[in-house]
Amino acid sequence: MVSRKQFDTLVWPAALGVVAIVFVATPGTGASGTVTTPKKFYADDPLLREPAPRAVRKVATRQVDDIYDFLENIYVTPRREGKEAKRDPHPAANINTLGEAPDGPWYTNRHYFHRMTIQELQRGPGNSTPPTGAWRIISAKTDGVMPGFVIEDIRKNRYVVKFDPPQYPELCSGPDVIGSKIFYALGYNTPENYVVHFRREDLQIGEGVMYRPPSGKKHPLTAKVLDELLKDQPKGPDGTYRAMASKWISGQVVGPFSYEGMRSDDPNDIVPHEDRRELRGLRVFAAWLNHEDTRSVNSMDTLESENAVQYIKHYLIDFGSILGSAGVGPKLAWHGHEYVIERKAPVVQAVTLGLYPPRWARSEYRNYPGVGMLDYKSFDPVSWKPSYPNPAFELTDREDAFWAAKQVAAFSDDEIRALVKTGEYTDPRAAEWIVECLVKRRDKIAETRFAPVLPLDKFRVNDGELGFDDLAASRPGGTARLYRVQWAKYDQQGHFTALPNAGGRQIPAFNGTEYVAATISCRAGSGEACPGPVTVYLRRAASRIEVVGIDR
Amino acid sequence: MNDLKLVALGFALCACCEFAQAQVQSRTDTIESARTEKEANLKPEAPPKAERDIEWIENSLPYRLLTTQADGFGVVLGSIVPGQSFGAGPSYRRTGLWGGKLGFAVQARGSANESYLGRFDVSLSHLLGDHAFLNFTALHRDISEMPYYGAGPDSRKTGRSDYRLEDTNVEVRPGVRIYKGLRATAIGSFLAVNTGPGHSTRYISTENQFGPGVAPGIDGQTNFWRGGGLVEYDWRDHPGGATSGGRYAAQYVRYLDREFSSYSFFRLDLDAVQYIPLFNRTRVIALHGASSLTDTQNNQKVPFYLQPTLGGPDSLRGFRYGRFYGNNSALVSAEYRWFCSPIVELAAFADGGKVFNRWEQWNFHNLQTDVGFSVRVKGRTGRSAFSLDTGFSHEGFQIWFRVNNLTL
Repeated sequence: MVSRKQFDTLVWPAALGVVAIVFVATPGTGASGTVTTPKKFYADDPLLREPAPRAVRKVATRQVDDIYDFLENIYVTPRREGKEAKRDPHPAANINTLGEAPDGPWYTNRHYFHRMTIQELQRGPGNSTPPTGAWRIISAKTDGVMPGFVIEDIRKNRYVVKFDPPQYPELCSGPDVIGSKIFYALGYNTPENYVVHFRREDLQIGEGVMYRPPSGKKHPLTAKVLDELLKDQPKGPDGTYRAMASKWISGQVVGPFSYEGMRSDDPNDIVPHEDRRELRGLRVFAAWLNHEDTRSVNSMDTLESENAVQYIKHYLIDFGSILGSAGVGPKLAWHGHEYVIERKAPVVQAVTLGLYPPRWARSEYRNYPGVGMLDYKSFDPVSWKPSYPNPAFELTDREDAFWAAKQVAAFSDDEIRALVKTGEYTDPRAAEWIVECLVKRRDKIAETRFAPVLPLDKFRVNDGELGFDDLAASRPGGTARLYRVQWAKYDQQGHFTALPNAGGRQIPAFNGTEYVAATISCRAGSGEACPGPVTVYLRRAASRIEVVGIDR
Repeated sequence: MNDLKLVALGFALCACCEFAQAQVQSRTDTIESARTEKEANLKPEAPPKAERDIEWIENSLPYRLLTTQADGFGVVLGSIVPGQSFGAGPSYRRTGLWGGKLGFAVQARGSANESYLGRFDVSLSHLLGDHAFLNFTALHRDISEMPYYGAGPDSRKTGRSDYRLEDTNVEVRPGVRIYKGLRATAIGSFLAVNTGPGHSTRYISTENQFGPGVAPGIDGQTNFWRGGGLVEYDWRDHPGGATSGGRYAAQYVRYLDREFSSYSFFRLDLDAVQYIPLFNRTRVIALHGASSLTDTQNNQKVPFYLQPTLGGPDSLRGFRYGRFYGNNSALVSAEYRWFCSPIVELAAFADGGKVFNRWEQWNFHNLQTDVGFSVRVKGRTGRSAFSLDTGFSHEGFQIWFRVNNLTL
């Protein structure tokens, strides 16, 4: 990876000129061919999909050292990104003129943009190829927090099979499946995860499979060892074991991605990861789902081919530590509220002798072993934290947060219930508690992340009128606002010419080479805050008028 | 750096604009231009130097020896007697043998004050359908500076003496799991003991300070057969860092003097600890009570080196290790622990205890007391990785530093 420091000193001067003009708010040239003031829009804006990736040739596989990642992000990242955010606050760098992340190897616009049906949500990245028949164990998984196997089913499909902590059945397998579906619906690439049930006799051990127990020495995986491993796993009433099977991601694995810098061997990787909208916005999604373990190690880059072109695709993996699960057991109360190493909070706790417990310590957690520690009362979407700082999360600004929050808010109660159902909880009360927490956490996200911006979106042209949705007003309990729309011609070079006779949502007349801008501001009622206006740009494309850009 | 960046940005943008006049006509073009630029400067992906350095440290032998919890060789650190010289030594461990039923561990440790320890453990677990287990331990200690202040609750701090304690204990403990955390264990062992002059030049040797009337057995050591049993019920949530549940144990052991038939006795150890979680386990009240009772028959005596003691990191933390010797002891302590940060826990504690001669004196009168505070740094598993306990009593203060539950 190219670190921020390397980027600053080596790559930055050379690459910035090019990188800076890649997406939004970028300079350009006039159509006449002379150097002019930068123009705002190109003919192909808004870019909804990144251009087809270039072929990746030599790619090195690399791993991220856990301790390095921890130390770097605890001690270096917050200061560096904090300084960066103060010195040079800048919006996400990979967004199109509408402020959206275009489809590409990192991200695909899904549920918010093209509403998915309940069936599609439950299908997620796929739900039609669970492991079937007898399973042949081809290797034993020895990394990660829980032991597991790599198996091959009768169709030669490969899966990583992971177990729940024996004392907490369903604790990890449920979230792992739910997470794969929700993050998929949110636009990320995720593996196909399944809750599976199997009997001991369904397992066969492949030749030469070795197993490394926690004690460290590798030895052959024998039937006896397998029995020993399964010994503590609870069986269902039908005598089957429950586990989570994650279908092997196609393509050669080239390691996890980093939340900062860029891959130095990928020509398509031209935006520092900490400036990617989908990684900055992930903070909000992670907060919603209590995914405090958003480390590099829980991501995966693979080499995939499309039209005979090999490129790197980026995945989020391993959701066994979301919701109330911490992977090896239930989350602890501090998860999501404190970094592993804090500066201020410990001093306060030490000085007050712990006599004033923080709000999260006083919250209510239901005692469902399959759920772990999950609540909504103590949840604060803004102050929520992963276990240790994430470079992209440190740079999340209000627009990144709004981008993510509108997607979270798009999930209806029924859709959330349907997604939680894929976790196959045996105790309906457990599933209902997760649904309740996700619904309430969603509402808190919408409330807090919509407030700093004028939450208008889904701009459209209908019968010569500019239409839009007020995402806050359309929420339960939201109140409709009055808006003022001011129209102006826009010359692409930063100059607006007011159109005095135009007003309201009716789009004024303009010719085919012109752009018009509608600046929409809200009229504050008594006691209501009114965030800054939103400017929407329109142009003619063939015979119709289209929305080409949004400034928030 | 900012100025340089601005200059670079200016040049880059101008260059790009010039270049773009002919080339860039669309957003797609700008992206392709950036890709072209990147493609011309591709480099193999490699970890930064700091990461490589950390990996090198992680793979180094000293690091692995000090940190590994896995099978194989390691280094064990910690004083052989709390509060005395720092000790260290090699260890070797194998687990998972015989289908996961058999494990063994061996360690040797030496400290700067010429104390030594050797220990060999074999454990057979998951026997009889996981209902039975058997542990075997052979332990030899040669402790050059065991403290002795005299017998009973009225011993004086200034009366400190030292003696050498050499003992070898070969012990077998077969047991059964009755139900969940309820276990019953039989105890059988052979214990050979020798005492001698203390090594320290700071303190008088015990035999020069105390005669056999005060310190029974000082004039002639013996060997013992030991036999007895232990019943315990353990329902702590995490034995290494419990926040709820408790452990209650009663151990009865009969000591039979093989040489003189003068020092046979029995010893009953009662121990109960209860953890009360508050505020989602971010605060815990830990209550601990323990009592060791001995008795003899026919004018036999309990040798001083096998008497119950109080003082040290596991009993009265404001007193020196082994500060009080007596035929019987009682200890109560209360601890309030609170979450300070995910890896730091603080605690305030109060201990009270006494040694006494007759069972009728088993009460809470005339307790030696201390108060103190503790800082504990927890590891990944929630167990205490380091702890620093400071106890204050009328005899001053004591600081106990532990790594992985071994007192340094």
